[in-house]
Amino acid sequence: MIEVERLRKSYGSFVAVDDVSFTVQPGKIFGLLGPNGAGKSTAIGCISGLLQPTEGRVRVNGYDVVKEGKAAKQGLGVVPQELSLYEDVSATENLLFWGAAYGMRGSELKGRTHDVLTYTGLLDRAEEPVKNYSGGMKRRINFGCAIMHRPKVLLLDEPTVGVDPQSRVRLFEMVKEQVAHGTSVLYTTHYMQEAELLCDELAIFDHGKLIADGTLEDLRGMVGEKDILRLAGNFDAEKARAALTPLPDVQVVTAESDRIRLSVADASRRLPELFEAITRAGGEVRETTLSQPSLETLFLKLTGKELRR
Amino acid sequence: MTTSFVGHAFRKDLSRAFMDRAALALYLGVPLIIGLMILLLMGGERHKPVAHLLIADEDNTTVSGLFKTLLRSEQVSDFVRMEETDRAAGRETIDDGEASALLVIPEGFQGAVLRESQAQLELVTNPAETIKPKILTVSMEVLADVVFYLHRILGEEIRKIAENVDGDEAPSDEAIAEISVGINQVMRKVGKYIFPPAIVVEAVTDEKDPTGGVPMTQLMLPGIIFMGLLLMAQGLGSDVWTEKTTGALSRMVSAPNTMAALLLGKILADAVLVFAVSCVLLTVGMLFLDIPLARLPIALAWTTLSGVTFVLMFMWIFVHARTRRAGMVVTNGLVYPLMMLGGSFFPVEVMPAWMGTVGRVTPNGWSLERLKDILIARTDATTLLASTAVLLTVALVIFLHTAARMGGPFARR
Ligand SMILES: Nc1ncnc2c1ncn2[C@@H]1O[C@H](COP(=O)(O)OP(=O)(O)OP(=O)(O)O)[C@@H](O)[C@H]1O
Ligand SMILES: [Mg+2]
Repeated sequence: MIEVERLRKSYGSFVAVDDVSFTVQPGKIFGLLGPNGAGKSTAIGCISGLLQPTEGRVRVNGYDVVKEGKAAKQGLGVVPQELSLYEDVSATENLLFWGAAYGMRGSELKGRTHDVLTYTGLLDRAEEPVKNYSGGMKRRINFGCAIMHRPKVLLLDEPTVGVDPQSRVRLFEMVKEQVAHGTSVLYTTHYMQEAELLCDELAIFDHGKLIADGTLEDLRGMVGEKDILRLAGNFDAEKARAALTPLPDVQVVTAESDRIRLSVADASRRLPELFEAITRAGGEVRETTLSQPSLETLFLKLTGKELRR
Repeated sequence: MTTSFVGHAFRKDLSRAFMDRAALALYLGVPLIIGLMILLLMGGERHKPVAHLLIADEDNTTVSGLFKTLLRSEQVSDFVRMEETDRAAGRETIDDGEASALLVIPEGFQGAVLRESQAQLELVTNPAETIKPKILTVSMEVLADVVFYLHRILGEEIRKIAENVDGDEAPSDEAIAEISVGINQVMRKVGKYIFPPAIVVEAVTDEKDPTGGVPMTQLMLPGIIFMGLLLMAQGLGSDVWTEKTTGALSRMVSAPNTMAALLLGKILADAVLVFAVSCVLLTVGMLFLDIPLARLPIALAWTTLSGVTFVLMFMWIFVHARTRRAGMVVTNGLVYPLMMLGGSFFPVEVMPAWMGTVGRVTPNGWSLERLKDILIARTDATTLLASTAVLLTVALVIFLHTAARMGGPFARR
């Protein structure tokens, strides 16, 4: 279990994580969703003990990570955003090393290494130096190193970056298996699809702040039934905004130069009406894109920014 | 700190080191090659270098002939084997690397010598050889001196020859014989004043002996070993940056084991490497120089302890550097001056006094002197124990400070 209370981390006058609170329950996956620079890794660093929180409190399995660091760390596994492996040595040696770093020894360590190698699908290449591995294999062993000691809390910082679809699926399975054993998982990503697929609970994170959080259903509720409609063409965005705003159930999300984003209930039926409004304002629509309600639309609504797909 | 983890950290670094064969070859190869070069340079009696000198005589006069006679003289022929050729063939032989140097006696040499104007000789040396061409250069200088002295001593005769050759007819055989005999006699007399100083240039040690009777090569051996140790220490010390950039250190901070445990494992692995390298270097050197191998274990213990302390010193610099490059710049700026002052290039015994004083208090110079004492058996157990205590204390202090730094600011990228 992870408890984050009013966490704040600043670098000089720059606030990377600003007054953030959330809880990750045992057996649940909590997603931190946010664009580059949102502060996801910084938050993870404060939980793992790598960074000193400027303010606030973090508890892992009930232990304060600052005051009871050692006990907190014992139950914690971290999969860093960047690969943290000894590339010159084999997967086996990496696993043995990290297992030992968490206090494992002897036959327990050996047995667990074998299990994790099997589990990550790397048994047949186990004695090769890690530098010979593909990107996806490195990601898997990077994950394996973090679960050697069967942590009760797992922090995953964008673990699927640069991974092919098969390895990604395998990673998802592995995360889910950990959760099935009661592990609490904090999962950061900027892939909306991953978050929807994997997470029980989600927090949308931008500029160091949690701007929305809850279960998938909660968040979907916040999106409502409205679609997101993107229009582009020969028009002045501000004039189009003025023409569209008066229409019932139409909300302008962003408007810039010759494109505009709207949140509209039942958008497909209302297209003619919208086109007409723009034509009346002296414009012409050349391109329309319609998206069904999703987290992505929520993110867009809340931040005015699109996430990478 | 668990011993199991220290053990795994140790194994991990040892296998990483063995993967890095190029670095190992460097640590071992550089001192071996330099040692070999120094042995060749100083050679002792075993392998006195004899230069192979080609002579192209384009002057073909009495004086150039006398000059060649001088080169064949006893004093010179100890060092020089002479062979006559012409310029083109000589150049070819040099380019093929089959001779040490080519001496061209140009036309007009005789006239110049006789009038004591500048006598030009052309000496083309083989770039692949260092010491033999040097011997030849020195010999030439000696000969130039000889000409100078000849003018002082044989002024009369020389002027006679000059008069003779100025006319078109060649000097009579008797005249040459007479002059030759005269010159030979004078040479025998002045030779012993002229030649010894030139020889001293090559064999400083045999002369004023600042070394207390210890052969120069024996004094050089610890220097060469410490050169290897310093190079190694810099290389192994820089490895903390590899650990940092792979992200292992930041991951380590979120693990319950301490950074000190990781560092201890690392240092033990480094100790094995230092031990292995100094074992090879010491054994080869001691066998070569007939130093009793009974002194090897203590010498080895000392080099290992010293080497590990140097690794820690460099590591300490690296964990304080802003980037790996910055660390390399700083340590490069230290390694070579330290080698120089600490007696790796030439022993403190033959340094100028101020330099020797500074050299003896550099960390490597200080350790090196202890090793020298061990190798030539002029130390006792008490002194050794005291020195060991000093080294251990220094190592421990640096270890603790480095570990704290590694687990703190250094681990965060
Ligand atoms: N040591 C530091 N000093 C100053 N600013 C920092 C430091 N580390 C991070 N930051 C800043 O904090 C902000 C959050 O960074 P962080 O790495 O947590 O973002 P992120 O959400 O993980 O982004 P990404 O998706 O790119 O990994 C960024 O603006 C970053 O520049
Ligand atoms: Mg990040």
